[in-house]
Amino acid sequence: MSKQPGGVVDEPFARVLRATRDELNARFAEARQRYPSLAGDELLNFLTEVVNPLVSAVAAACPDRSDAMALVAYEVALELVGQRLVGSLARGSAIDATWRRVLPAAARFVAAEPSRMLASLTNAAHQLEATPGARVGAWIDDLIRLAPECTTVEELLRVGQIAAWRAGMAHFRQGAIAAAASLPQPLALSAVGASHDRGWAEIEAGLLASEWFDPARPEATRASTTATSLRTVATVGAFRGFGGVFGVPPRVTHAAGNFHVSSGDECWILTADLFGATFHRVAPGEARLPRPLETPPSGVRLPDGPGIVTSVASSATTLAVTRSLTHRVILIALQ
Amino acid sequence: MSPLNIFQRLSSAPTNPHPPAAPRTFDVAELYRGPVAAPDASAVAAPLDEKLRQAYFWIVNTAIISPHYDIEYNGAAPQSYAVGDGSSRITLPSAQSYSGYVLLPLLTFATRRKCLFIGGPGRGKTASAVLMGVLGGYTVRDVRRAMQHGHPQMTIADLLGTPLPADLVAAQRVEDIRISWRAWLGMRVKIVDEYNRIPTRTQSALLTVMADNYAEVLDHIYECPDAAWFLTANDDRGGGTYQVIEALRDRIDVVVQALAFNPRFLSDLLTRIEERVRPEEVVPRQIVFTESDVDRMQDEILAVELPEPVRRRIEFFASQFELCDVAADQFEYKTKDTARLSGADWHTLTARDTGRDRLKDLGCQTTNGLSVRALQTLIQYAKAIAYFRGNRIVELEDVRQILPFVLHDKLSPDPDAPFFDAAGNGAFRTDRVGWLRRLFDLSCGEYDRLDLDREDAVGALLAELRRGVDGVNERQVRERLVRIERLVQELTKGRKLYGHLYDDLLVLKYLHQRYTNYLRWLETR
Repeated sequence: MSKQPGGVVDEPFARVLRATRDELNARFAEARQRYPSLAGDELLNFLTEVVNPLVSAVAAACPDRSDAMALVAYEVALELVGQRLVGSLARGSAIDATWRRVLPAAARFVAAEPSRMLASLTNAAHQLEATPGARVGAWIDDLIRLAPECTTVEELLRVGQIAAWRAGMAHFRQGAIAAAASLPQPLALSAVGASHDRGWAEIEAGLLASEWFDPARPEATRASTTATSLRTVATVGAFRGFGGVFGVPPRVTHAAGNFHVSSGDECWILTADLFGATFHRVAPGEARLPRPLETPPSGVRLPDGPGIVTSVASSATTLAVTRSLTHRVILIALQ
Repeated sequence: MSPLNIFQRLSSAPTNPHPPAAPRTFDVAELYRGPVAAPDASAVAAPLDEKLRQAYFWIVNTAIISPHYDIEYNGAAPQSYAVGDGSSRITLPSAQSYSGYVLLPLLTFATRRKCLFIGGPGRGKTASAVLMGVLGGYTVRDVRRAMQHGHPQMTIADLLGTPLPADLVAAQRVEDIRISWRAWLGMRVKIVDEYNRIPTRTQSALLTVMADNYAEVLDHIYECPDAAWFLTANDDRGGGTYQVIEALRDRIDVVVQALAFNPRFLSDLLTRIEERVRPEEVVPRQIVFTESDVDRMQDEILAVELPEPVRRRIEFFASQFELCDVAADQFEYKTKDTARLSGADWHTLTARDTGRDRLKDLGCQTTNGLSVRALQTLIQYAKAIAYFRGNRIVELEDVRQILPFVLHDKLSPDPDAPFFDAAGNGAFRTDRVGWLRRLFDLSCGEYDRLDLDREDAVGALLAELRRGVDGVNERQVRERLVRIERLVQELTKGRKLYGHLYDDLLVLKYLHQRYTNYLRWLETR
């Protein structure tokens, strides 16, 4: 162990710091040009508290790769501290948690491709944290659970995409299913949360057939949906004053394969499935939408709710409903 | 934004927008994009012409304060204003235009050719050269250490390397003497500061490196890699300590002049002083090119198409200058080069040249013609500027804009030519760039007047031969010979001999000879 100003640094990292001190100091000076607020003590703290354990984990997994990885980690640390994405001034903790928990659990992959791994997982954590409704904790847990089953960096990154989808990033659904299909069957089943006694083909067919298909539930226990007993699967969106996106109660239409939700002069694309829902702002004039319908399809009896129904839209699998006294969009499974 | 941040700010791509991309889709790969760049992935994805433009805009916006947009492109008719008594005009280009002082070195870097910076001291010539070294992936320290500073005592050993002293004493054979080669020889960006202060003998050694890409000391050879060369000179007209040997000057591909500093930008200088910022030390890594980047960029530049109509105008322009009617009796030797080799006095020769309209004849404005090397360089740079602009086909305007910088030292004006005495042309005696651009405009005007895009009988005959003579029988060959003879008769009838006509007549003679030989072969078969 070596004593450093910011705390205790293990030998693998200390060795790199000693050997490349001038170069690292020059990189810090250069980074200060880009990020004038880059604080030396914040960086030192991140290096000792977060990077140091990661370097040690990599050194334990692949001793000959730890020096190169440490230099890459230092570069990324400069970016993160400089942009205030980590440290005491950071607005979130997802990146910090990823570096502390996920990266050490995937140390052999970090050793193999440090630049790619550090950048990819850092960016993913940042995106998840910035997406309302996405569950960073679930994504981190999934990655830690699945990393031992992966054999390559590529597999781990695909697993990360699937985990992000299951953590609430519904807009990545199609890509994530495709990523799962490219994995070995046991890993694909684990990644989507399905039992290993089922076939991937069956799971994939179910996922492609309906956004509300749950790969974790045995076939026999699934509820059947009929026209007379509709199942509300999600209510999404909220008033802006309570952290949502809508200033006034929204209206919903279905066009070009997507639900479009408008509120006042603003419009969003809504993507939703069993794992979550996300809203994506549409630029004014980007989408030409049909007028919202105000009555459900014939024969469909909507569940009760506050106020009168203001709009109804449906895809092949989902019925979306808005009401006059709520800022939420009610999603009902049709399959 | 903090003042310091501006030194790392890159212009957003696309810097020269082309038609928009596909509509938005949700791509799961976006999950891994964000505030931290994955260096390898982005490097592969970035188109190199875009990266080159980003480098250009970073340099002009941040590094070199050069608000001189002398390479002008127009999408529509530009606004133009007369200043003062009307002899000066300022034009506001309607399309993206560029500063030649920054663009030419950058194109030199991309094509690995040779650029000379000229201008008074303290105008940023050396700093610009150092920037090119940093763009090539070298550290500022390496670039500065490798830079060759010309001085009157510079020896060949200073330039190339020295034999190891121990070997000089102990070696029994020359080949046993090891040479300590200078590190700069192995670099892909080479900088020679104040090259006109290098003694003549050392200039010859430099010529070998520049021309043939190798260095020689005591029979030992060092093969240098392909490199971009940047040379500086305070005075390009021979005012250095030593006269630059002509062969060395001829190896320089483009010449750019460092223009004056505009005091309106003093605040930018102030920021640099106060913040202790040196632009070459804060070059963003995104615009640093690897060796393979430059290799690939060279391939892509060479793949840019030079269409025939543009090529024909270059041919027509180049044909204006070599003819010197009074230099020889033999038709083929009626060239300025013949006159130069004979050592004859230029003024005596031009005084005898009375047959032509010396104001109209573009050839009378120069004392020499264009070399093959100059034409090759012109084509390379025309392709490079088209590539830089995001195009894959050279436009005539590309040639027009790049030509003055390439021919700056290649075409020598004859200051006694009537053209320079004509009203409004006096400034062209000192403005080499403006003169060359006017020369090209006049050539294109003459090309249009002759309607050579549609009426090019010589070109048609040449194309006919280039299709091959397989299957052409005796009767057809005789027909072609008659057509050539008629065309020669037509072209020479009552016409003055101008440069382009001279070259056309030589082509017709060449065609006549080819068909004559072929006919003879057919007859004896």
